[in-house]
Amino acid sequence: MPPKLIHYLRNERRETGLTQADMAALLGAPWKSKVSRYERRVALPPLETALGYEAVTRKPVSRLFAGMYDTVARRVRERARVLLARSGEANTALRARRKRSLERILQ
Amino acid sequence: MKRLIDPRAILGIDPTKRGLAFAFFENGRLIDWGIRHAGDEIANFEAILNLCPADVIVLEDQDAERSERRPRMRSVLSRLAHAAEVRGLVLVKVSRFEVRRGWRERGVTRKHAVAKAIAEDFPALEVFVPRPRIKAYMDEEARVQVFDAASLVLHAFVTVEGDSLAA
Repeated sequence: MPPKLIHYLRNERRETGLTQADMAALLGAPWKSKVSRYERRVALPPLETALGYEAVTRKPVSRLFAGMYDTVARRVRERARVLLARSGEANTALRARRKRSLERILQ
Repeated sequence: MKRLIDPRAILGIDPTKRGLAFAFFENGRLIDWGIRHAGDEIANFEAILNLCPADVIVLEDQDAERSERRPRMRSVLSRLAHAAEVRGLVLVKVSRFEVRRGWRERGVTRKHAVAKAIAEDFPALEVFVPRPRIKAYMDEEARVQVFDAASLVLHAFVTVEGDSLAA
């Protein structure tokens, strides 16, 4: 079943036993309200902050943002399908490699 | 460590005089828990649903046999049930007496012991286990309600041994 939440930042922080203030300090955020806004999904953290979460929780961003990753991955697969349908015959080595890459995305 | 067999997003809600206690499970994992204080119960319910987008709501059955809820809480429970149905969510109602009997069969009778038993199955809650109520005049700690909400879900859905890692 696909994840319903776009991310699990609140859950992961609570599992580590860190407070929002701790997390703000670790991520270099000026206030803990910033962390609260991320956790309540009022705002999305920028890439640097997301990677900071990965460093803190030791879990990959794709897992921390499981719901969002799921949506993005599905869209990428749809686009790969379109690209594959559009592409002609793989008559050169480069085109064959490209086709294999697209097929791998679809798997 | 345990998880629910049902992978749906399940939200257990227990209304109290302090607000709405909730426990949210997704893909069998305990994801979120807490208490929403103050304000109207329905507004709190909406706020919890915004935070925890559930498919299934588990509430206490206020009309069940041997329900000890007072009239105001009965009314709150029926309003919550109505709000869940209006939103098109699956509503599961559980008798509190049956929940208590389920725990009693496991040899767990007091609220503190129930909280400890739940925390053993879901270690994320370990630090929230309340202190035992040692004097009759002592009010129970607010966080007990979170375990009450969780025990509603655990009574209604089957659990199995499994990790708590994200699916």
